[in-house]
Amino acid sequence: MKASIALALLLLAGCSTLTLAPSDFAWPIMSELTADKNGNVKEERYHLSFNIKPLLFEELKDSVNVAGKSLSVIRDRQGFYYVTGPKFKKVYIFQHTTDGLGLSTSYEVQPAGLSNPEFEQRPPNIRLRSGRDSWLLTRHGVTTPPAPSGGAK
Amino acid sequence: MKGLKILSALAFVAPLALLMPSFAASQERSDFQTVKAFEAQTKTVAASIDAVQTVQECADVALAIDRIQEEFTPSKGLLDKALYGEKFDERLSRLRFQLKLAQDKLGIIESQVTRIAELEEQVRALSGEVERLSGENLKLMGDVERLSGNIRTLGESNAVTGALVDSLKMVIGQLQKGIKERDQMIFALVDSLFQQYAKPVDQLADVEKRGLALRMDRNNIVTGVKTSIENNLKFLERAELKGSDLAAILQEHQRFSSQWKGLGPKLASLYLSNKQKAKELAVVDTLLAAWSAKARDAYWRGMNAAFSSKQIVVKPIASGNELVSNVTAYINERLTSERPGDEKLKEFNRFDALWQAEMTNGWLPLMESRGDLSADQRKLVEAKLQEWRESFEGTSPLTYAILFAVIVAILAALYVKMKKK
Repeated sequence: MKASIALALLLLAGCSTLTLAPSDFAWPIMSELTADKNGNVKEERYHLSFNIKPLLFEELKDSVNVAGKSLSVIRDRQGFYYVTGPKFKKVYIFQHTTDGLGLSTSYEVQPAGLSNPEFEQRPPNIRLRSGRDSWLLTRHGVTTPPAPSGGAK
Repeated sequence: MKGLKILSALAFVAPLALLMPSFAASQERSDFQTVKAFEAQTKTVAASIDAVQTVQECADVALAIDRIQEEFTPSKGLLDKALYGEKFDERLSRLRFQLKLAQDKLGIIESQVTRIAELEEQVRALSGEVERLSGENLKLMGDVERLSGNIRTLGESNAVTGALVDSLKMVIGQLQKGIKERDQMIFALVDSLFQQYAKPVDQLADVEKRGLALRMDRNNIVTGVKTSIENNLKFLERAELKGSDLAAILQEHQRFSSQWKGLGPKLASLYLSNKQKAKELAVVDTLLAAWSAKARDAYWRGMNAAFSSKQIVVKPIASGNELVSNVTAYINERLTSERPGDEKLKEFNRFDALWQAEMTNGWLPLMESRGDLSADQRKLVEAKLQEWRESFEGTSPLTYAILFAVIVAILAALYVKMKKK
């Protein structure tokens, strides 16, 4: 009995995750990615590429006219991707999965649609600016109500 | 080939001119826009370095790099993280090194570039001053209008206060000073621009001429000169100006005209092939002629106003000759008039006070300097005034004593003669 308990403990220790911390996945500056005719976007600096058709369909109900459509993307310290674009009402939070970028969550920020959205690093938050408005975001939602740009730091 | 050089100069200076710092805008910029602007500006500078041909162009690039540094230093932290492959300081050092290589290739000495860059900085500062003074002068002109309006309105009900008149005088004084300062700044700015080229305009190469012309345009020199004349014209039209104000304006006109005489032909030679600019220069000449005419009109108007403001009825004067003849006629009339002595003395005192206050130190030297009055003419009119002054000087007691002694002597002689008979 004692031997089997010791074996089980040994097996559990062997399966525990090795974590390298602290870690920082943040991009210092957002990227503006433009889709090609197939809906693919590419981030040269970080060697990242993905297809935005499903996202455009989800947000704009249009996955046909995708060529030239642009998205604003930034990554926070934990490695979550914040994605939005012109005319989007929502911000989408993605994370890596083995199949691609998987949606973690999404939430509405501007019911009328964002005009020219830009993300900025404001640790521990991400700031979203659109025209004269700005919001402080986390991967769970908006932490502050809309404020004029420069107001929310 | 020549055309190509001119085009290359145009292609060179125009993009750099867009690199003026815009701090208000930079404060509003997002991180993304800041990085994008920095990338774009450093890219423009790098392209300009490849195109440099003259020492002035090298100085322009050196200044553009300085301006980028000045504008983006507050965002250094962000740029250090966001730039790909190099940091903020490294990017600027790379540009400076690239410029140094270009200079060496052209055989340009660093000290020349530094000197021209200093002059260009001076131009930038003066240009800012001109802009500031233009704004202030515009505001002062508005104040003069408002105060004059108040005085006119209140004048109808005899309610004009001394304080209001003093305020107007003060604002007019400030405006006059502001206009003069702005005129000086414009010419100082032009000097700083010409000093960057160590040769007379007609000896400059085409590419240098083009560069200088573009610098002139960038600083709105011709428009600035036009504005100066227009402001002076507007100021001259003010009815509230007194003799002393006008004398100062006329001096300013003389100074401005002689400076333009030096600058005008240089600009004409610079804009030889630019019809639009040639037209603008002609407009400056026309405006200057209008200013001359108005100044001349104001000159005599001011002098006649000096007499009429003291209720001294001298016939209108419009030349040095008329000053002598009309003042002489006025004094002669007073000398022969049959009025009580007190009244005549009062009239003399009023005239003499005005003469000493406004003519002796104001108008007469100005007339002499403009060649409107000769030294002999001045002596003549001053002698007439002296004659008038002497007419009030009574006979002295000594004269009476001598007269008495003479009469006594004559009587004594007569008495002795009669006694002998």
